[in-house]
Amino acid sequence: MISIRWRKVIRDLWLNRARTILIILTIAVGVFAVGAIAATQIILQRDLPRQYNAIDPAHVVFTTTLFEDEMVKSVASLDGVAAVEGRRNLPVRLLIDPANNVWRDLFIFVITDFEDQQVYKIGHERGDWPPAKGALVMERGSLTYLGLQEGQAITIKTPQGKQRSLQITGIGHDLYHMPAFLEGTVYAYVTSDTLDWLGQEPGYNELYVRVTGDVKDTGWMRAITDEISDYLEGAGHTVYYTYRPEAESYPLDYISDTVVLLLTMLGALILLLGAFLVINTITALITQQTRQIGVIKAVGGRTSQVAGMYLGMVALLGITASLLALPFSMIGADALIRFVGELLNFDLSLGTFPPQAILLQLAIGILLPVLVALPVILGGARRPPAQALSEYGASQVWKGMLWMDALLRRLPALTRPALLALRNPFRRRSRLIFSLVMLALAGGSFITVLNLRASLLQTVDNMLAFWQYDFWVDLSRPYMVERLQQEAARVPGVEGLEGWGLEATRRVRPDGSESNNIFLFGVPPDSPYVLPTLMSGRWLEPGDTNAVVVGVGLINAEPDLALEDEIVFKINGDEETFRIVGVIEMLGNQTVGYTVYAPYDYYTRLAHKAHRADIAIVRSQPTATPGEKRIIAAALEDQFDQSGVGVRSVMQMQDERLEINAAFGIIVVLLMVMVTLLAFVGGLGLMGTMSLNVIERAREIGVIRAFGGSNAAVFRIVTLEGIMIGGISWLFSLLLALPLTSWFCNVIGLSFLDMPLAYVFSPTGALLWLALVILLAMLSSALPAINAVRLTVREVLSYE
Amino acid sequence: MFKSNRSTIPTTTPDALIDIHGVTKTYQSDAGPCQALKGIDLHVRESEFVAVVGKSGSGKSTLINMITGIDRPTGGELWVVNAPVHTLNEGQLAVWRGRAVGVVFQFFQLLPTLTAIENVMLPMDLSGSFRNGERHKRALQLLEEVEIADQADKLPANLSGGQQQRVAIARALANDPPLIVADEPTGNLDSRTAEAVIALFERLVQKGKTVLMVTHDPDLARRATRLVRIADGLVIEDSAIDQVA
Repeated sequence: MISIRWRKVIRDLWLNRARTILIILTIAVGVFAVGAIAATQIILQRDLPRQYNAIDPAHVVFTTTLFEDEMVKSVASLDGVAAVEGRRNLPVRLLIDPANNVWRDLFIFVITDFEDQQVYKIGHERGDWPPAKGALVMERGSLTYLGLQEGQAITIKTPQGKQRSLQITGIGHDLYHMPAFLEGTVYAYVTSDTLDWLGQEPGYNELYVRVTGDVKDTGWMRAITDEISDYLEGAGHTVYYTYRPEAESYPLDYISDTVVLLLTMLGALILLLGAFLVINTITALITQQTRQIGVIKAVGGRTSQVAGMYLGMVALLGITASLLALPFSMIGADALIRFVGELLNFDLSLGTFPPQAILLQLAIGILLPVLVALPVILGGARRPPAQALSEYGASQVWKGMLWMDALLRRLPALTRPALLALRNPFRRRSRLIFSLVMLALAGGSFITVLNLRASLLQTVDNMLAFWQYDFWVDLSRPYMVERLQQEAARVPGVEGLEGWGLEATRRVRPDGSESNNIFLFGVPPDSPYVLPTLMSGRWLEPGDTNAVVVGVGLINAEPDLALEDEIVFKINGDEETFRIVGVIEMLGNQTVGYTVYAPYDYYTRLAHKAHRADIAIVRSQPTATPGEKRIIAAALEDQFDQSGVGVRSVMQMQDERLEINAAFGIIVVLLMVMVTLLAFVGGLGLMGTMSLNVIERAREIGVIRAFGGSNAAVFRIVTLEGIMIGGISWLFSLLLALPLTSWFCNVIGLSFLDMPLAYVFSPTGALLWLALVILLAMLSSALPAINAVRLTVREVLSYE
Repeated sequence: MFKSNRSTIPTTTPDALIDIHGVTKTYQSDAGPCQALKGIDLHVRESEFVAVVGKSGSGKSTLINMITGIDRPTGGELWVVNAPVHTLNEGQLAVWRGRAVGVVFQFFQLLPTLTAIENVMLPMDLSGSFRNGERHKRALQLLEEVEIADQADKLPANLSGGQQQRVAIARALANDPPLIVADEPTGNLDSRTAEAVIALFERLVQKGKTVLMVTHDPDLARRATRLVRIADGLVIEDSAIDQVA
């Protein structure tokens, strides 16, 4: 038979169902969040690299002039080479709007043997494999992104301007390239026969190499890269780029790392809030049951027995909450994992819930509440029975009342009930401090997350503001700027065109090693087409020669670099030294590459293409709608085609904005999930605190009513008190959000963009929390007050 | 355990159930120290029914708290039911109290979420006395003794004040302690119920229990066998009551 003590514990929980549910929910939300997050982290960290490694990613990628199978075989026979595959990367234009003749880029890869891929294996999803001549396999993410269907025919334009129709007969899965959704670039795969059918010269221009030995050994990797480069160049090929992906990593780890980081922060915040809420509620429970504790001790209960009862109660609540949370955390983790998987184009699902996550949940759900409640429970259980049984302490006030009284005396218009309401929160210092800490944490986190969202959007705006043009046209070779401007002048809707140089280069470090790809733009210093957000130094000025302005991401990625330092780039095969004169906010990371800006004249002279442009920067009429801008770009492309200007691709800045927004959208969605959960936990905390404040003072409410206080007067007192606590906590929330926002901006920015986010303190978050805190404070004070005024005065005065 | 130091106190009366020597109690408050007991000496033998009377604030409840070990003296010695209460720590006091003293409070102090019978079983559960299966039977017997067995399964909120006090007395008897200490047990009851409670105490004394009762009511005090009057923290009267008169 269950002992009387445990019967009391269970009945206390049952008879105070509202409070019990509140605590269980609080713990359950924390356990749910921690479980879902931990499981997501475990699966992401396990499955993302596992799936990526299953495609046998290259350790080094060489982009070269065309080479044949013989060269692939030769490289494969070199010492230190484990596997090699040559592929042809053929950029074509894809017709997406026949009515308006609008085209976009499509990268077609030629795979020699679909069944025997060696490196960067493309997975077969469904349909033909390999595709027949004149047909293609479309990457699954690209298919969805373009809104195309299997079996549909598409029209492409080759670099030579020939149009061909190809049928989508199969669907592939490419984990090597960035998902179309994130980069806006779409991919398809064909056989060598189709390449020939498209009228293209045979051969590969990309060589993917996997090496033996320690791929984390930079010295070794540099040596083998140089050896293969030399081999290729010795055979008469030009190596345009070499790219060494970070060993045992995958290209999108900056996104998944940021997601994991955000989730961890969310988990920590919820846990912290939950812990405070448990402390707060258990403190109230112990306070409320002080007299009962005194009685138990008076009839022979030992401190250990009393403490055991209440610790058992907390453990019971924790077990119930954990059991409640477990299935939800499985559902949540699965949803979260699938969400991230879909975004990153991986096949992710929860599968078996990781046992570590279950253990963590049980530890968090049971041990944490017990641990945080332990000091409170021991304090209550150790209290001598005489003190517990007396009224001692109930009417004690904080010394803070002195200044509070002085303050209130200056407000003579306040009624007695109003004074009571304003003084009440200060009656118990520890309760007030706990309530304020908890509410400030919830509010501070809530405001911070909304600030972070605003900071992210502001950062995107800052970056996008740089581009004061609507699209740029990537030309098949450098063309005279004057000629491009003449052709553009013939296209209605084009307001202006500027010619820029563009070179995909790399930094040559002092030790001779090279960085990953860097995009160097040759920009006229007085160009009206850019509006840089400077972080330090200055923008390019007329008369500058070897000056260069760099995106902040590069400075963070290459930590030995700083403003005024020299930096060496390979321009046209030669090493050229530049001086960093400015650092700007600019999107860039190791995966998408970094951007740097040099004076147009100086750069084009170095690259032997003076007065010529690699890309045409174009601005449409300011009144043009997004649809019209697309049509204007198509018309210009058409005009260039007709006049013999080769166009490789056209990049719409509005698409760029959408792509950046899409990448940031993942973070924003997660932030909004954080806000919702924090508002929920914070709201629970607020309601709990306010309710307990009122429940604790049921006796006082009885006294007020015994002396003629109406129900309305009671309501006014408790709601005013609620508003007062809510208001004070809001001020603390604001103060807390200031450093928290700054810290989050740094951490998230560095993880995602290699630079801190623009610091924005959003009034929306602050005002929203103020409204929420006041509303919830009033509601959660009024609800228990309704119960209190329902009781008779006699009942209330004997209320325990 | 409790007898080990007994020989060191030569003044202890051998047959005393309560033996108090020069007990003082001083409370510290913001207004300064307040001496509630100023040196109390009291000796109570088995089967005595002692009424402690005095004005409000005289120190009678403080004295009761000292005797039950609910509060600790500032000075002096207390031997209660063979234990040197003044030397025991909180844990030892709880164990001793559970078996040696039954406490009855003015406001009954039943645990609101336990039924009447569960409230009676609680001290047995806490002290581990009686076997599990016997506790319910004994609690029911005790409730029958205080004539409230028919209300055994009700929560305190559903009982009248008198009924609650009967349950509280049954609870005080749960571990069959030799000493029952009651602080204003009738203070919250109507006169008819108060009379019934006093009659209950009288029956307990007849059965060999010692009852120490604090009361304001001179009529009820006269029902005891001995009267101890306290004023300003001192015993100013200690006399036997002539029951016949």
